[in-house]
Amino acid sequence: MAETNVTTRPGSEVTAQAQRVPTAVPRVDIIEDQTGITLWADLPGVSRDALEIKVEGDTLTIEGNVSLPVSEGMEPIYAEVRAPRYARSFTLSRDLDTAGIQAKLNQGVLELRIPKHQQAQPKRITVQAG
Amino acid sequence: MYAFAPGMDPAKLEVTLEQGVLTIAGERSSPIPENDQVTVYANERFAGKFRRTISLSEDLDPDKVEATYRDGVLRLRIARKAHLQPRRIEIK
Repeated sequence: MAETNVTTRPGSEVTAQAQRVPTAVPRVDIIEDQTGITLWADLPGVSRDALEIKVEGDTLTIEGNVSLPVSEGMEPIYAEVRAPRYARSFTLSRDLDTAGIQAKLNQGVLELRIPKHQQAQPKRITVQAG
Repeated sequence: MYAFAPGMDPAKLEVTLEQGVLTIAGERSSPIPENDQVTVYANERFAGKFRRTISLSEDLDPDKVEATYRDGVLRLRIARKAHLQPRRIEIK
């Protein structure tokens, strides 16, 4: 495939709002098949309410806030993960139909399905016997 | 204690506590199909077996571990052994 349908953007292009709090870049898997793109992102600690998926022009942005049910009076004695927020942006090609995006969040993993426009999907032409 | 382990089946997360050593183990498979019908643009997420051991205090009670898994985060609450907890002494 000569043309790339999804490209990840450097962190600097994440919205200004996201930069105010320490923000981690979630790890993703992205594949393309004949009918569209599937993207999986690891967002542990993000509930459905704390997740925001935005499409503006050709930019897809995933943002999520981490909320851990911390008991009162509890203090961390050791913490490896300090960023309370995830954010990452992607550039989508025009071939993708952003109106048809489907999102599922299951145990901290976001699955996004972005179909291709009908005209961008390969068509099988039936050859009729003459 | 919180451990980030997104996308797991809670039944396949293995948590053990033995003599103050806590072990969290499991396996996560990749969702990427192994065929040439797809183009892979990114393959950053962890796939495979993982295991992590952490030395905790020996006064923890292995029978009193409360584990919950929500939004891909494993939360463990481990109580101290009862006889090591501060006790109020009744004055007669």
